[in-house]
Amino acid sequence: MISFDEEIRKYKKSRDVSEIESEVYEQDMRDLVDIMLQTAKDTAYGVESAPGKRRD
Amino acid sequence: MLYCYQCGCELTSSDHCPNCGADVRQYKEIMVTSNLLYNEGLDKARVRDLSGAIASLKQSLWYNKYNLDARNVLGLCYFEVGETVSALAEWVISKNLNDQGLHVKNNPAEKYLTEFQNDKQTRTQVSEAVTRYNNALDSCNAGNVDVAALQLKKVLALNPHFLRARQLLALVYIERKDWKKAERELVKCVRLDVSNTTSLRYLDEVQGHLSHQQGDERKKNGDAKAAGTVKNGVRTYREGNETIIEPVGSKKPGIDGFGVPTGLIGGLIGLVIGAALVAFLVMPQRVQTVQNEAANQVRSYSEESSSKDASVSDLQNQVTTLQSQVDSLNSQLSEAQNEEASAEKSSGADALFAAANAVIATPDNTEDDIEAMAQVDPATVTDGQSDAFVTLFNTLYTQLQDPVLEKYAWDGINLYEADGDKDYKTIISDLEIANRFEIKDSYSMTYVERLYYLGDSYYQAYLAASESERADMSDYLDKAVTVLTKITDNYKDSDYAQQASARLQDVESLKASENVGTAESSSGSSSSESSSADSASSAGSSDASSDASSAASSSSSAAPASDQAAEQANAQ
Repeated sequence: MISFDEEIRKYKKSRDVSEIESEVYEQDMRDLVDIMLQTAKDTAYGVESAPGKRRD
Repeated sequence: MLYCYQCGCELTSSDHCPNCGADVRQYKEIMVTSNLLYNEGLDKARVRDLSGAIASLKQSLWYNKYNLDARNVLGLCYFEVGETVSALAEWVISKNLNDQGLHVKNNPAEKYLTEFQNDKQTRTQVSEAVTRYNNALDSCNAGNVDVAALQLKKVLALNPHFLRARQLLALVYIERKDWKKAERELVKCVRLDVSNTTSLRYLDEVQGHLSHQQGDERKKNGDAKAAGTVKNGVRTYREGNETIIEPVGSKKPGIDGFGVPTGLIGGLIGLVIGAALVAFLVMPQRVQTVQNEAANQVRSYSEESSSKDASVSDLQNQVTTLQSQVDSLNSQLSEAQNEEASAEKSSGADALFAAANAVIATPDNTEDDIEAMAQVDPATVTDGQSDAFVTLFNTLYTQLQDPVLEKYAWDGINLYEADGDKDYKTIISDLEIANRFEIKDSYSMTYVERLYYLGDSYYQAYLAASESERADMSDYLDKAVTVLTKITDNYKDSDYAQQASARLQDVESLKASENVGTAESSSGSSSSESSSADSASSAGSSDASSDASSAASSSSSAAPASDQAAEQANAQ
């Protein structure tokens, strides 16, 4: 049985064409190739000495 | 085609880059997977499984964000289900990724964005649909489903592909228990996106309710009939809002199968009678009318045709007369052209003979020799002349080319650079003579400078002239354009390139304001710089290729001289 209140909560407001900039900026542009390259870089530096990594 | 992610080199079948040696096995697998998912998404989109297509394409981009095809198709899928902003976002990203790195030609995303930007009506409709949809959603949240339904109908009128709005409208109908309307909307949703789970779930629910309802109605009708009262052979019962009174034992025509054949037969008989009436009463009159109209038309066409035949034969006679006139005029024209050509030939020959006489009289390259030789046009003087004539020219040219060039080049430069009022006509004359005596592909050092001075002199001379004088100088501006363009096109690195470009703009503006036409110079003398500069040759031997100048003189097309004469001149 479909519950109207439950279903209506799933509907989100739509964006206007003028908000396309926000839509573009919010996109996560990472892909698997980026992750692969980052992993390779970390391996080349050595994971413990990778930039930004804190030593425990 | 795959390229190394480190150095950009084209990859081979090996697991390492042939250039930098990077391990590309995993990278290749990622690319292949991305392409497989793209193919899957494309196949789904083709059968309108848009939800499935969107999922596959998003996964493809997760593997390789530079997969432009996947991104463009994802945009199309979004657009098809009414998610316009998401579609535009994908295309904008596609365009930017392409501009930044990939530089793929003819990226479809650019075309889609341009079309959308140019289609003001669609943009407005989409924007309004979104606003109304959001308002409808607010109404639903506030419990005003009737208002929401009205809003959503307007949304769908503006954007019929807006899937979410249609699903919301179906949900509103479900809430109001309007199952038929809900079913209608959901069928449209499924047609738009065949595997959308929301649409299918709603449709399942609605169809369940509908089948229940139909069963209940049938049951209700049967019970109502059985529950009705019978009096004097007449049964009375209620069906919904209606009261049915019928004789006992009667069957509803068309429902119980009784009475249908009778009605059918009656209809058929009626059809036959009607057809007979039409055939025997209406048709003969109609046929007669049509025949009369046709006869009248035929009569009028034949009258028109005969009058046209007469006019055609008149026109043919006129054509024959005019053709004979044209032929006679053409022969007169060719005679006149031949006379002009031979006059030019003889005037060119006269100039050379005068130069030869001057050299014979004073063989030491005196002023007289140089001035006499300057009147000869090396590009055209040997056209159609004998070998002996050409030999004479080559001899004189070899001796006097350099002195003529030096004298007139420096005269022109000195006059131009002098202070005070300048005699531009003399400057133009001197520089034109100098350029006629330049050797092609071996121009002297001052050549570009003189080109600029010449171009500027044409312009200044035109500016300084009065209105009446300008009528005779209409080709000066065109010549200036030709000369200055030669500098900007061929000598961009020279000191005069910038000045020439600026002066060229001045000339173009003046031309535009004065509406000076680009009349071709009909002068027989090769006074135009373009023709003389290009036609200068080692021994007057080259074809004068004009600089596509509209002011090029007709005499610039020099006939090639003999190769022997060229070799002789070079040897000397």
